[in-house]
Amino acid sequence: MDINSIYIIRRDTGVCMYHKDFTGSAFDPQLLSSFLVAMTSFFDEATRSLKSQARAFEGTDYTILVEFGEWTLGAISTKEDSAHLRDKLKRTVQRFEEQFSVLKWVDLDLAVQTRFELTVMNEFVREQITPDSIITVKPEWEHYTKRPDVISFIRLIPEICSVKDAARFLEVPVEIALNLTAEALWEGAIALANPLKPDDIYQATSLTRSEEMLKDLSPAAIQALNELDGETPLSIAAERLKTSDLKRFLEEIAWLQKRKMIELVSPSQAVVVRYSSALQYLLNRLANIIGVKATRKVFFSARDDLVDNYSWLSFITLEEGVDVEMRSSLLSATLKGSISPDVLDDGLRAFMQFITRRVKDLMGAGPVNRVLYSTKEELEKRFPSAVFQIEWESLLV
Amino acid sequence: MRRTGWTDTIIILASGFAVLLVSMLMMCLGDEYLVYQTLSIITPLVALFLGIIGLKIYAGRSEVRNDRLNILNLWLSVGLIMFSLAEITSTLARLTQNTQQMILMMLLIQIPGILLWGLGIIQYLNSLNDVIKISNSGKIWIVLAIMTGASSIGLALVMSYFLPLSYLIERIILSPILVGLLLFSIISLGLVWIFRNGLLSRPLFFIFSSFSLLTVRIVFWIVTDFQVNTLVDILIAFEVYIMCGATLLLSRDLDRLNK
Repeated sequence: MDINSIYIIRRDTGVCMYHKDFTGSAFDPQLLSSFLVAMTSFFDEATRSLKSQARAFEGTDYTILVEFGEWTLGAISTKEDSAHLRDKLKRTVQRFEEQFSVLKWVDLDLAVQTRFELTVMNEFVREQITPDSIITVKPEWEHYTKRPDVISFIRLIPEICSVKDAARFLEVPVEIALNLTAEALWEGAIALANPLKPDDIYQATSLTRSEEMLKDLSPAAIQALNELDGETPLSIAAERLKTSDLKRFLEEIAWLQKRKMIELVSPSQAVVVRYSSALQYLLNRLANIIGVKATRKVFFSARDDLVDNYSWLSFITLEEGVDVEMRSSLLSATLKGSISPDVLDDGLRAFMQFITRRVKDLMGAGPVNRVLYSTKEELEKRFPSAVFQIEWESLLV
Repeated sequence: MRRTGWTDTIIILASGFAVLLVSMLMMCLGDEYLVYQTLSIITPLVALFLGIIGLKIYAGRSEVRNDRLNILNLWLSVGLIMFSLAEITSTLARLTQNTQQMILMMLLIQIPGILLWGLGIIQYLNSLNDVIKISNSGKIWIVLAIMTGASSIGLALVMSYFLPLSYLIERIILSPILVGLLLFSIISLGLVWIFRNGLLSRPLFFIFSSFSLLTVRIVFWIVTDFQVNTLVDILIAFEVYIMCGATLLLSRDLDRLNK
């Protein structure tokens, strides 16, 4: 999990109204809340700002992100700052203020800790569980939970199994198994691991490698290191290395990840890589039918129409012919996580929609839709499961 | 639907229509010889002029080597220039008064132009097939090649069996040309149908018209026992080149999308 702990703090009194620790190494909630309120008040005074300016407090191996609501502030202790986490924190603070609005005026015991846990669970726990996630039941799990649904869930499933398998054991839909897994994970009764997927995108953590780093690595792993450039999905990297055994290749990657020699790219970067591939395949096909000049014209007119709403789209351009180029400003924003994946997904989807709707005028709806289907098919070879994260139906004309 | 710049295309089409009307009027008035002489001069010139315009538009785009629409238009332009040379040669050959040799030469010099146009449309179909998967790419070409070959041989046999033995060699040469032109007409009609709801169907329709009129011209030669270089023949050729010129200008205007 990306986060260590989360806190919701009342701004005027500095009282911590809700907290959840995910790792067992959280700060004392009341101590932290007093510190944060004092520090943010200090910054507001010092800068004479009406709007709170403080955004993060950094330690050696953690960062405390802060987001402000109307009368509360939310804080997350995490490893690194990202727009994705900030969006989640903002949403959480907003929901808290909506759900417990009465606390703004009067101090009541509303059982906040238990009543708010579903929101936090959905926002921070549920999203990391996929049907392929591997559940490992902890040995003394009975000590961790008293929830009847979690107890019956864990009793019925094998000690190690995937969520999909658990759903099969329980004879329930996968969606219910996902929710039960989230609850069990929330209670700390299980450990969760997400297996590597062929369309995951990894990048090497260091470009220079010492002899010592490479000492225990197999030749295949060293070769794999050179292929993981933050843009190439694992399936394509395996193909380039002419790997016949994908399972073995994924094990090598998992080993490299364990040694922290590679890391999964940020969600924002994954969105950009996915969409830029889709856009490139689409434009290549369109250029073959309506010509390069008309395709370029469509691309730039669609971009110009959207740039008022998504200013970052101006960093996506075409080089010679219809070669898509992402400018370094956009790439570095995705690397830093300073632009959220939801914003990118929204903007790039709208961009592709504008392109397909313009091309419809030239080709008619039927051929455009067939071009989209063939683009999807080609992208599926590169991103077997992530291809479905693009809403192709919304692109059809 | 968005508008494209039609002005140039309309001028070309209107001039083609005007020539057709004037020619028919003059024919009715019995002034056939004047029309014939005029058309003999302007037809190759129009083909040459439109071909050069096409080359000017489509040959200068160095960045679009893989742009099949551009290549199709480039082949059409080069084909027009070839046709203009063919028309000039046939006019000159006509002056020698050796009819048999003149017809044979006319047929042979038409072939490069037809082949270039055919090559363009087939390459475009191939590229389109790669993108929207109309049919299995390998299979479609084998079927087309076999059908064209078989139909050409069949047509040559039928013509040599049922028609008089004069002009036998010419008929044998014309058989694959006719089958090829029919094939290109069907392909371009298919493309018009695929893109029927888009602006792209317009230039493709004019390509179809060019191929159809060329086919009519060839059929006219066969039916009239090779009455080539007549007024009707030259008039058809003139309209073919006008249609092709309209295609070139309309394709250029696809780039000029207006809101």
